[in-house]
Amino acid sequence: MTTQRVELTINGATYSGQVEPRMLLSDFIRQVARLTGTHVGCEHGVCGVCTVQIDGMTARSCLTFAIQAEGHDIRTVEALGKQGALHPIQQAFWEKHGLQCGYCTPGMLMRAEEFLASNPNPGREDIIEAISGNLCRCTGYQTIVDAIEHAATLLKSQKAGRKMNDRATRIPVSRQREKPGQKTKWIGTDMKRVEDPRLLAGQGRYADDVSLPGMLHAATLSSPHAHARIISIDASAARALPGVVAVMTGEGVARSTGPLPCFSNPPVEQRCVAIDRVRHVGEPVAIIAADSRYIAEDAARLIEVEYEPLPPMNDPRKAMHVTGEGVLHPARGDTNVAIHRKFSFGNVAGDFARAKRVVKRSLRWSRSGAQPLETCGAVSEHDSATGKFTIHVNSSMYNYVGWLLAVTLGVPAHKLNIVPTIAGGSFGSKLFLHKVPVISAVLARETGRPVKYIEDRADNILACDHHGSDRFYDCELALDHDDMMISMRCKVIDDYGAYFQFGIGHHGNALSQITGPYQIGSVEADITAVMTNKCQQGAYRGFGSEVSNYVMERMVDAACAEFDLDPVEFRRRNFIKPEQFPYFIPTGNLYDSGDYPAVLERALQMLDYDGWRKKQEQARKEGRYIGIGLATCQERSVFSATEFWMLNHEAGFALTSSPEGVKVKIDPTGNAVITLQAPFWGNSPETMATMLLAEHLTMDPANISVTYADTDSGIAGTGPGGSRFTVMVAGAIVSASQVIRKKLFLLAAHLLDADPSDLELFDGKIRVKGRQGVQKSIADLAMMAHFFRLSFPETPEFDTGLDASCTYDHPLTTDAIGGPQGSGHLLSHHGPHVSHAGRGS
Amino acid sequence: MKPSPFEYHRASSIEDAIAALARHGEGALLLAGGQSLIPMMNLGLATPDLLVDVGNLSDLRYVRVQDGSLRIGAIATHSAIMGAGPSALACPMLIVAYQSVAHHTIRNRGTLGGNICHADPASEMPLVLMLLDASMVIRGARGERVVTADNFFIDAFETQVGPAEMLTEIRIPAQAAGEGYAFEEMSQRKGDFAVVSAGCRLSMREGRMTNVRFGLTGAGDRKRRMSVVEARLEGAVPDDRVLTDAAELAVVNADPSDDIHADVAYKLDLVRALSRRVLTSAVQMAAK
Repeated sequence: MTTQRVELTINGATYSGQVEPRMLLSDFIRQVARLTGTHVGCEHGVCGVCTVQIDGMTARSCLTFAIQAEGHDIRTVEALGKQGALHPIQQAFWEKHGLQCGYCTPGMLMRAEEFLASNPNPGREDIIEAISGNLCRCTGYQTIVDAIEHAATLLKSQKAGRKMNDRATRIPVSRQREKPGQKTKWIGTDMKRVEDPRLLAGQGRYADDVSLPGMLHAATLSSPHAHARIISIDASAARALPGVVAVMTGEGVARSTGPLPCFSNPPVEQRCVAIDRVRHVGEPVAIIAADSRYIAEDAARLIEVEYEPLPPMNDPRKAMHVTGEGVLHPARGDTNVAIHRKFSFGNVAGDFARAKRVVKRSLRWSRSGAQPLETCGAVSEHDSATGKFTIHVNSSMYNYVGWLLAVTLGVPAHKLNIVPTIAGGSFGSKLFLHKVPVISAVLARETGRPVKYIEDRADNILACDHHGSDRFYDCELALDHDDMMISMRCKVIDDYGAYFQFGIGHHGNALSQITGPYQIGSVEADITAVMTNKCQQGAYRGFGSEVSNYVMERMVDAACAEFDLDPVEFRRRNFIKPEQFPYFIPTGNLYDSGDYPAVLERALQMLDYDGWRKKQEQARKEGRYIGIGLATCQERSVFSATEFWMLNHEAGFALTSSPEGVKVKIDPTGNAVITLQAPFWGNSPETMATMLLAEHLTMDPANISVTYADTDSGIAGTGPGGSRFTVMVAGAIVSASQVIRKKLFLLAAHLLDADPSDLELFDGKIRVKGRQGVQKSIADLAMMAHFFRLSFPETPEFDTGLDASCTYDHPLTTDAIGGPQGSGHLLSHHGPHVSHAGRGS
Repeated sequence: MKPSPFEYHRASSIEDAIAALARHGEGALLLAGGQSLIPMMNLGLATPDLLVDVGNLSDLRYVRVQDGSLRIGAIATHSAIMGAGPSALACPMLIVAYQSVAHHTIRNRGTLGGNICHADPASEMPLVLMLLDASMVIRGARGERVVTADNFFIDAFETQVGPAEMLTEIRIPAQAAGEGYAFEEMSQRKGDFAVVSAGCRLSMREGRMTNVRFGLTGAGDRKRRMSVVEARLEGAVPDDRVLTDAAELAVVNADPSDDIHADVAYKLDLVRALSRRVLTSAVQMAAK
């Protein structure tokens, strides 16, 4: 390994390192210059996340060797501006919400700067063309285009010498047309995001930005086969490579580490490194810890594995009938069917018997993957003296089920501390990471040093454990004499991939809104979950319900097409009517409210639906076809735990809690620190928390900080997903605010010699109603609360401190129909399990 | 996804680069902008032992007109070529075709020379240079030779440039006044490699097409220029029937394969549609 001294000029400063010629400029910038604002997304020039400027022109730093850049001027996002002194382009992105997770943002800013320098008056189309080489997975691009348009204006006025007021807390005029029921000062305003200044400056701390002394870097050797037995592994050459510290195979890992967490019952065993069989291309076969990722990958290439290929299963419709060599998990039974279950609600047979017309369709929903620009990653440490692990990881749900990783690692739950890093997008794929943190933790324990494992793009695409739904449907929809839909039944074959971490939870989710917005009285779903040689399904966007929405709407359109019914009228007729709420659908799930006809009407108006139908008619005469699509769907949000098991009579763990928690502390100066129990995914949790607390305690958002608890200090928190976080954390913040308000009122009442009921909170002060000047500021009260116990009565409600720790549960959760409530099932992946050969559970 | 180790030599001149290649023999590659080579290396698809970096040979960055042709140095970047006044004046078809090539940031680093030496069959520029009757100057230990575009491109990823040789210049005769030209492609997203692309240039004389050049990418392994179609169009009046027949002839002579992006039927459909479009556009432009 020949290295040489490479000296680069970055942002006007000189950085030098002793590096190999193959070191990519992106890695030099991040690791040698330690400027981590430039991110890595794909390492083959597709995503643009690594964009920097070389001699004033944008370049992909992953497609440049550091050594090529000697003698040139490199500019990164760190040169643009910092919090409190943002560049107008960063300011524009902040004002127009041109970022969510922040991972693509530095690359966008670099390109925007280059573009605006030569195009000071761009049109929207020019901007769209200009950023076409930079991907974003969160925003949908429109706000980025808005931001660059706005930046052009700011740059021009900057040149004209007008002063820009960019105080972090300036609130623009609200664009709301309808005011909420009560007057609010902060809630509902177009507040600039609290998260943005550091993200815009490239100072967000993502998993790959964590750097610990003595840290090693991990890579995996992954299977080139879809399905094969592992006959032998020879890692001797890999171990002998200079810079390699450890190489572990599945057998070695299994001596100290158990299967990964799995929520299906009975579980399907998955290991972080395959032991005797590989079940999809990309599955890890060995893991390596080395001085650099480059060397770890070199070592992987030196490992010799002897495989005996087995028949690959790639079509679930065939795989479900296979026995013998093509079965992925023979210990579980001689079949690739993981579960076969028929769910039937209402009188399906009777309804089909009396139907006037039945329409049938076969429908296909193909698998997808989230592809966040930031892959999954973890940095782990193991303290051999205490036996405790610390894992920095970009996962969610760590304060909910994170402790399950301790079980896998073979230690008690309190010997694992999980520290969240912000995530560059997730879309479900970082919901509950197990393989990535376990790989890094296992290597940390083995080597006695911190180990970083960041998936590269190939690892993430092939082996992220979170592919989306992949289904074949055969459906029938029954209509009665009044063109009302009365029943639907579907046969579904679901291609779950090689493992089964969530069981058929995706179908539980779908079933919770299976009949969509319609008054369908009975429904049946015959579900077969099949194991195949692909990455397993996990959490992706709608978590299975987007598929049932698609199916429902396709069937509605099929009925209209076949029976010559108008798609708008048909939907209107079949909607649940406003006066029918609250409404129970056949499965027992409850819809609390809705006005579907009004929503449909609004959508039709916004599109000018009638106008387009006329254009369509005209175009047909000219031989041109215009397609007009309509879909009216339920999008249930703020999921509760029962959704995943309420329809499964043999649920592994019938939990009923899925709370969100928050801690709020008022410090002696009267400022607040909010501690969240769940991570940032691009979803603005800090802004929401700040806005909510500012409103409830009449505080200035500038006096509020937000931070994230690790699991050692954390309280219960389920985390983002299913559009739930803002709603749930709002509940927890309201609870916490109430606790703090109560204490403030008690203290103030004593100091002002008044009754708490005579007090009000206004503009950061507690005052006696109607009496001018008789008040105490929150800051004064906080100082007293922290330091002056003896100024107050002896009773415990006056004890020192001013903080609250609260969790918020759903106020209403539908329970299972005759489910196993309180049946005391063991958590599925712990107990011993008898394999049920050939039986669908 | 990191590349395998390699040795690095920064060339101080063309002679030095050629000598370094000759010294090392097999396993040595030239590195210019790296926009084609480095992704392949990061993906493990290319594993050279030695990279000879010619990216700093500023003498090879020129874009100028000389003796009636546009002369482009082998290390001139796509961005520089697109932005150079001489390019637009002498060979406006280049600028039009460049709208379909990659993205701004890639074009800042990628070189036309590197791109055509890489000779990816889905790449647009090799086709465009063939249609523009370009020729390439290749230098080796035994001196210089000039090769026409038709001969320069041998096969997918294979050109006339030998192991110890280097492309130094691309020469494109200035397009004639009044020429019509067009280039269109279909790709999954703008900037991606083309599924099928079509290019055409021609002049009109007394109502008939002349000096017709026509070709496709993505239509099979055979050479990109379709002389059969050119011959059919040469001297013909560009009426609807002639252009339609020409597009059908392109389809008949196309031999695309199925791949994950498109099947044969769709590609032939693209051949028909894009051929028709570029022919029509070129004719309309020339008629003005």
